[in-house]
Formats: sequence, C-alpha cells, structure tokens
Amino acid sequence: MILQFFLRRLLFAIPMLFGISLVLFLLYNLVQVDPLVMIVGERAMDNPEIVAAAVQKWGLDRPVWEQYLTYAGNMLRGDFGSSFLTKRPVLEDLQLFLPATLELALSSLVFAIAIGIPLGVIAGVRVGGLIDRAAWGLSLLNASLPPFWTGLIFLTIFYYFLGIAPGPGRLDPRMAFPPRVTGLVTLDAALAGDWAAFANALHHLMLPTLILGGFTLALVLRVVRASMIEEMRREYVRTARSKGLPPRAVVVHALRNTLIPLVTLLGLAFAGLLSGAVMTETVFDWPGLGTYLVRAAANLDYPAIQGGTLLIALIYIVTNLIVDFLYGILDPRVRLA
Amino acid sequence: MMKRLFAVFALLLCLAVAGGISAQDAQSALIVATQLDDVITLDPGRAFETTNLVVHHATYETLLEIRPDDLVTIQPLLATGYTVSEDGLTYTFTLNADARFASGSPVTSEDVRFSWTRLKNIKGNPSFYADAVAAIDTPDAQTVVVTLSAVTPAFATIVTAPAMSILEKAVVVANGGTDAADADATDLANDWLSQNSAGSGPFVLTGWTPETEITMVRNDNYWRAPAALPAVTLRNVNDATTALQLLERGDVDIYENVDKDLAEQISANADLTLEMGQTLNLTYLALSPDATTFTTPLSNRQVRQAIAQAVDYDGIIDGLLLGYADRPASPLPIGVQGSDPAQRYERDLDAARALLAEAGYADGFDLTLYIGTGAPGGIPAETLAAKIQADLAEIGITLEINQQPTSNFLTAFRAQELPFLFSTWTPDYLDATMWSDYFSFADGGLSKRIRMDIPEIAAIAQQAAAETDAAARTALYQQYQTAHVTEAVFVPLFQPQLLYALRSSVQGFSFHPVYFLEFYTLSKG
Repeated sequence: MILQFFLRRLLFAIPMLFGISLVLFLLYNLVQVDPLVMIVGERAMDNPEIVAAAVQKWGLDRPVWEQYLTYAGNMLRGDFGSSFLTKRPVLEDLQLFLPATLELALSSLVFAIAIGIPLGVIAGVRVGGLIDRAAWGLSLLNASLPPFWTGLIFLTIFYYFLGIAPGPGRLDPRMAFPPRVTGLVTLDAALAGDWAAFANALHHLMLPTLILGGFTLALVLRVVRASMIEEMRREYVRTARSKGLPPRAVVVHALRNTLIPLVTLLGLAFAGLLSGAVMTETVFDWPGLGTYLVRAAANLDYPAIQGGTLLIALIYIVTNLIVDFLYGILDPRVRLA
Repeated sequence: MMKRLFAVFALLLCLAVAGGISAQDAQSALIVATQLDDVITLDPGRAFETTNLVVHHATYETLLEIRPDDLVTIQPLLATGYTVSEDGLTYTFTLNADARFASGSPVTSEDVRFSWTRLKNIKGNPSFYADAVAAIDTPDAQTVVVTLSAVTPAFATIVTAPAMSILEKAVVVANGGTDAADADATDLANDWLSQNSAGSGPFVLTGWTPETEITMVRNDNYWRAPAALPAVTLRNVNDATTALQLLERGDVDIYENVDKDLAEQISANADLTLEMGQTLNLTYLALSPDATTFTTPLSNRQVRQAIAQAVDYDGIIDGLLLGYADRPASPLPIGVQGSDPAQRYERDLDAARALLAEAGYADGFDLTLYIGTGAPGGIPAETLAAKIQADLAEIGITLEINQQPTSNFLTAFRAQELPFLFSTWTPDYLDATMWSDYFSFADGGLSKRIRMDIPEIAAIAQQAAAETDAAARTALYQQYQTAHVTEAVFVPLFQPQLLYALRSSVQGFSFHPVYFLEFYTLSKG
C-alpha cells in the first residue's frame, strides 16, 4: 500500500522533471548567447581547427530541437551532459558540490530543531515570559539580518578578535582533508579515524550553522510557539489538567499535536537550506551547490543550470513525499483519507 | 529524550571548540589565500586559465625560461641552449643531461616531442602555443630539432610559457595520455593530471579540490638545489576582508591580489609586507574605425583622437585604482619591446573640442558604450563606464552605457557587433607578438572583432613578427606604436598592478607577469 503510494508519486515526478527541463531549454535559447564563448578560450577562437573540434564535440552545429531531444534522451539514461565551464560531467560536479551543502544543511537543521523546539514550547506555554520575549527578539533578529552581513560580523568577532571560532572554509588551511568517501568532511574524517580533522571540521561548521540554522531556528520557534498557544487552549488540555495530569505530561500531549505544521515547515526549510545557502556559502568559502549554481547562471552554463535545477526540483519532490509520509505516521486520520 | 539530545549536542559543541586547538601541525608549509574559481583542469595540455599558471610553473619546467628580474633575456632551463638555422625555420635544443623528473628519470628529447605533440593534438585552448611547430625530430636523447611552419622569431619566448612544459611521457601514458593525432578524443589523462603532476619542477602536485584548495609538496628528487618550502597550499578565499583577517592571524602566509582599499591598512601593520607586481595586462578602450557596418562618428579618425584626449586617465588611475597602475601609449604594454609611454595621450579638453569641431561635431553626438560585468583590471565595469561617460560629456558626447552579462557581451563582441567598448588583454608569453598578433589584422584577433582594417598597422605587425634582428625588430615595434597612437583605435586606459600581502616571515618574493608567483625562491623564516 505505502510502496504503491510512493511509486505512484515518484512516477508523477518524471513528467514534471521533463517539463522543467523543457522550459529551461526554451528560456536558454531565448537568450542569444554563443556557448563557444565559455567553451573556447580567447586565443583559440582564432584557430578554426579548434573551433570546429569544439562545435562538433558539443553538438552545437545541430538544430535546436535535435539538441534538446539528444539531451532528453541522455537524461533518461542518467547522463546530464558536461558543464561548459568546468568541462566535467554535470553529475560529477553535483556529486562534488552537493555534500558540502548537505553537511551544512543537516547541521543547521539539527541545530534549529534542538534549540527551536524546546524554546518554542517554553515560549508557547509561558506567553509573555522572559524566554518568550527573548526568543521573539532572537527570531526577529535572525529573520531580518542578511546572512552575508552576519557572517562577516561573526567572523570578525569570533574568529578575528576572540579567536574562539575558526576562519572560513571546511577545515583549517594547514590541515589535510581526510580521503573523500562521502564528501561530508566530518563523516569522512570519522570513517578515516582522523579525530583531529573530525573535531576541526565540526568546529568549522559552528559559525555557518549558527548563521544558516539561525534562520530556520527562528521559523521553528515561531511555528512551535504559535501552535503550542493554540493547543494549550483546547479542551483536551483542559480535560487533562482537570483530571490531575502533571503539567509536563500535558505539554507533551500538546507538543505531539504541533508536530504536523512543524514537519511541513521542516520539509520546506530543509529543501530551502539545500538550495538557497549561496550567501552563507560565499562568506564562509563553503564550496556548495549554491556557489556552483550561481556561477553556472552567471556564465549561462546551460548543462550545469539544467542539472542543478533538476536536482533541486527532485529534492523538493522527495522532501514533499517524505513529509506526506510523516503525516501518516503522526496523524492516523491522514492515513484513512 | 530531549535531555539526551541536549547532552549529545553539548558534547559535539565541546568537541568542536577543542578542534580549534589541535591543528597546529604543518606550520612550515606556505599557505596562499587566493581565488580558485577559475581552475577547470591542471593538465598542462588543456588548462588555459590563470591559477593553473602558478601551479604549472611550480610543478613543471620548460626548455627555456624568462626570470622575473629580467624580462627580456631568455635563459636556459631544461635545455642548456639552442641554435636557429639560417632561414629561421629550424630550432635545435640541447637538453641538460642532469635534468631529472620528480620520478628520478632523466628528461629526454622524446619527452619533449611527446609533450608538444600532445599539446597540439588535444586541440584544446592552449594548443595554439604549438601552432608554429610543423615537425619535431629527436636524433638523440639530448637533442630536439623543431621545424616551424613559418618564420617565428617569437618561438624561443613561446617555449618559456607554462603550457609548453615538459611532461614525463612514461607517466602520462601510464595514466591514459597519448600524443596521437586523435588525442582530442583518445587522451584520457586529464583527470590524473588534475590531481598529480608528471614534471621536473621543484614541487609535486598532490591534489586539487575544486573551489577549496590545491596542494603541492617539495620535489625531494629535484635536479637543482631543492626548494626551501616543504609544501605549498593554495587556498580559496572569496572575501577580501576575510583574507586579510586570515593573514593577520597567521592562518595564511600570503594574500594574493589584495583589494587596493586594504593596501594602506597592510602597510601600517608591522607583521605584514606589501609587495607590488607590475602586470603586462591591459584594459583598453576600443573605437571601431569601420564605416560600412557601423554608423558611428568613430569612423572619423579625428573623433577617435578627440575621445582619446578627453578621457581623464589620471582620474581613473589615481581615483579608482589608488595609483596602482601604469599606462602605455599603444596596445604594447610598458616593458614590452618597442613600448614607450612618452607617446601616450594626455587629457587636453581644448584640443579634444577643437578636433571634434574640425570633424564636424562641434555640438557633440550620442554614442553607446558596450560593457560586460565584473571588474576588468580591478575596477567594476559600471564604475569605469560612468567615469568615461562623465569625461566624454565634457566635450559634448552623450554616452549611453549598455551593460550585459559578460557571456552576452563576449558573444556580441566576437560576432563583430560592438563599435565602442572596453575590455582587457592578458599575455600568455612575453613576446611583442602576444599583442601585435591580436591588435592588428582585419582577419583575426581583437582587431577583427571591431572590424578594424588598417593596412598600415597590419603591414608593420607582419613585418615585425618575422624580423629576426632584435634591433630592427624594436624599431619596427616603435613604428607600430606610433601608427596605433595616430589611429586611436585601441586606446589603453591602464596597465594594472597586482598587490600581494605577505607575513613578514616570508622571504624571497618575486613577481612574474605571466605566472605571477614563484614558490621555488620563497622561504619562511
């Protein structure tokens, strides 16, 4: 039953992805840019032999519709072409840049949940209390300050002046990266048993997590607080209280019911963390997906834009799927529908 | 459950803070904060960007070299010397018998033949370096005889370029490389050569992580005196302020391409040294003389001369580049054969207005300046365009600025659609043909892109390129400069300088206009 549901949803994703790729292709062909600008260097442009070799290699002499059909056909076989800019297969590029983003997104999500839920609960139970007001201020600050600004300020204070945070990057400049297995430096260091690098990588995650996770934290806090306030006013809470349930148990009851909006939010937030961390990545020299895609867009690197956009679309589709699935677990009524 | 989660979180945080203390090893390695976003490959047969040059210079060697302290003399390196045949078509190089690759194997004539043939047959961006090479013979292990397809006095200089580096054939072939005629399809060494090197240079490449770092260690088998530095790491740092913070805290030893706004702050810091490198890069204004396709007043030479005398060059260099730039008279930068700054245009608004009046534009006219994005030569394109707009307004020319993403701009530029623009030119080797081949002819280079067809300039450029007598060649390039100044088609705006900030412990800095930094001569006290 569940498997069927999953498969059906995944099958729907295929025409969606093709639709997206077609729209992107049409948009790209509206912009009058010669891909040779990216592929062939300034000097080599004068050598007809090199230009001819490039045109042939990249299929630029073929009609536009044929180019798309070839692309779509290759896509079905899992081949997303090669980037004009890096000359590497797009899939290889994405494998190279996604792990850095994933590591930062996961760490930000854990941070946001670990701090956001308890603070949200306390703020929602004791409305107007000290923690509520402090949390409100914190979330307002987080939601309104741009990450490239806070990033630079945090680096200046915590790295430059205080020296308690490391500089930008995923590891100290004088430290050797562990052998690449997953691309997540913390995990790779742990797998290699290199605990110095593990601790160092974790330390390097600290500031960007504070910045990136801070934004998600603010969202989590506000959602949990709002739903807590709502739940605490409900009749079942009153019933529970009147039958003498200890306050802590009452809160746990109410908390369970705030999880549905929270899961929706976290799903979207996680997908957002994966695709929209460009500013934080730039400030912290974090070689992630955002950096890759912005550069691809600035250089009109068509295969990279296509591949990256499809990946992000896929991330959103899969996250939505997981969220829907979690609804079923959290709320039996959804399963019946 | 929540408590446990908290405990784990707190533990991770402690571990993270502790991690900061442990990384004190590898203090003796040299760390350079730079930008690595241009690196596509580190295969000398394919790379044609900027950062690869400094890496290739450290890990490979060429037959001849031009040292940073003397940019006109060609010196021996892997070759002890060379002779040129009477007709200028045959170059014979004698290899140094002591020269060894990092693997310990001797550098042979077959390695030279393989490296250059591979470069040519890959048909990549740097393949044009080998354009002049028609045949390579190897009569014995120490002798390389190169036959050229046309007389090319610049060939000895071209040989010094990092793209002409010698690779160890056995190692490259073992990792999928080939010099076959179809090497553009069959050579598979790119991946390996992007992570390792197969050269005879003072360092060995040990890895490249895109947008993160490039690592090299000392070649302990080096055939000359080994380098002082045990290892060099190029580290990607995007933000200028952050790069300076890393330098001030000692996490990096050199900060390359310093933001000019930070120069004063660096000079004031006793722990740091500010070094300057004069590049041979050029940021130029192009004014198309074409009158058949374009319908701008620029086809009138007096109008072009008027514009050349209306630009406030000192304002650009002092105001926008804080003085860190020079300015040549023609496309030949200062430091290149035949270049003499004395002939350059200076701002003279009265003379400019008089020229415009003579040309029949006493009341000025409207014109569009086409620009890309980014910061050509160190000034944001829109800032430089606004400055030129203000300057030309003073002689009655109303400038409209048309800015497009650089890829769109380059597409239109290459399609010969832009009559008025500014752009940059950076050299790959130090011979004057590096400029005269591209700023002269109606059928090639930048001159073609703006539809410049001036037979006089083309004739001098052709003659100079083939002149084998050094003095006669210098005289021809002087003529070339004069012709350019008169025509005012390519008007140089500035020749920027690069700034480097070093920890004071770093000694032996030198700057080369092609490959920039040389790690071999650097040491850390």
